[in-house]
Amino acid sequence: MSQAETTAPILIKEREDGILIARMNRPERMNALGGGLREALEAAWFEFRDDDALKVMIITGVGDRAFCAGADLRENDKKARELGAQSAQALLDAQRSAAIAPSFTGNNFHLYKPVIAAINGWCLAGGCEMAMGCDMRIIERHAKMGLPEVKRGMGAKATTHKLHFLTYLASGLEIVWTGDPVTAQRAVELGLANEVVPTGQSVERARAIARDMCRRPLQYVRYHKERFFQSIGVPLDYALAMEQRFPPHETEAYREGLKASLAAKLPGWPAN
Amino acid sequence: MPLLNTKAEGNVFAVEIARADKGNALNGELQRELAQAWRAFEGDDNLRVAVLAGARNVFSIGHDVAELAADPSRSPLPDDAMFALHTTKPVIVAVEGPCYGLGFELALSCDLRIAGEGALCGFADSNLFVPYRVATVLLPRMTFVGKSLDLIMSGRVFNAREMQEARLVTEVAATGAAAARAMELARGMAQRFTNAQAFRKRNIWSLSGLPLPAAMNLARLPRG
Repeated sequence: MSQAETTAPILIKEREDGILIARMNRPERMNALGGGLREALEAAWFEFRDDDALKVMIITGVGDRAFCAGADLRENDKKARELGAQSAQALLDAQRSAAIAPSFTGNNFHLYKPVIAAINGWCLAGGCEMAMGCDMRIIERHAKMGLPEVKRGMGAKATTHKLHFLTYLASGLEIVWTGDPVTAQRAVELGLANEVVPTGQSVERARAIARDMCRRPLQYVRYHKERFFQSIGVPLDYALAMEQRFPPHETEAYREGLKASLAAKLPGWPAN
Repeated sequence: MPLLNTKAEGNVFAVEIARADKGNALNGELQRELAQAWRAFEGDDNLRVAVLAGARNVFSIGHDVAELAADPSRSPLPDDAMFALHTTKPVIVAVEGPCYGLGFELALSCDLRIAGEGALCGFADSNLFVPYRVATVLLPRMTFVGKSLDLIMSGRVFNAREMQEARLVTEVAATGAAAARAMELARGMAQRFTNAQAFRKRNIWSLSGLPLPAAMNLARLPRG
């Protein structure tokens, strides 16, 4: 850590009010998850989750070439050779532990605060998986998303449930089976991304959305995401019954919000 | 003076929210009248399909904030009976203009949505700290999880086309024509309507989102 202070860190973190912007800074390797980037990301998810002052996180890549190209295969290969030279068991153990990376993609470790991916370029394999694990994806016009694992005889491990959530079966299978990257526009059509913006503008757009989210009570945002995820895959009546437990009128945020609502004017409100 | 106009047109039950001077805000009285209307619809064998619309090209701006602010100790959570979800017969909603918050939830609880070109749907009031319980359950069953999170976390308002892209409306009509189109659709459905259709509506809602093997097993059970 200490020597990284002198040069630019591998994950550049900026705080702006309640927003944490994390930029993957390894452009020469298309921001692939090696050289300590994976570990830095893991730490950042926890930092964001556990810091009550932070409300929204934006994740993006440095440069305009790549958001993140996924695992660093060159580095993985080198590591595997070194371990394999030690013993077959060492290699097996390393493979097993690498298969478990619970926090890496954000949406499976009780992180209920919003994370927005600002996709500034190639978004492939593990990078695509990470973007899919975020809550919203803003993609730049030149960027492409894809899961090319199938072309290299690798499995796209943690992607299937996310594809199902985001695109449902028909397009999900197209994406994993062909391995072909899709254009930004197609990504939005398939449900992979939320919005296309011109090149260079994804962070700015994500920031505007994040600022809007910051105006909402954190408890409100957290509640809805948590309930979404917990209501999937359970019977409807049970999911509805689970919703009965939140007494908003006992919170200060509710009373403050009512006052602000009275003064606010919504778009399309009929003129009196 | 009721805030909800209901009228039987043949086999179609037409329900209109008639509180346009307040943006068709759903105050306690309107919620009660909606619950009554669904009970009446469910209990009358002559009524086969219902159409819900808002008066004067406004669907509903949602909660009646003024009423809630008058007594902040009162829970803003609505009575679930105001939602059309539990009826066994089809309910079509015509959405024109603003359709926000609780109004949007009400529209989502119907089976088919026809939107006028000028419809605006979403959780627009970023100040209102109210859990949208029914929407959190229904949205991820109806559209992509990414779209659901976009709607509810960013509070972004979707226009009619975006709603259609998200598969949340079945059809977009010209501004002002949604209710007429919904009535046309309802008359056609009323002719074909049988009890088997009610059975399917219940199955579709209650089985959606379940793990596939569980859903297939439940679908085989006889249901009353």
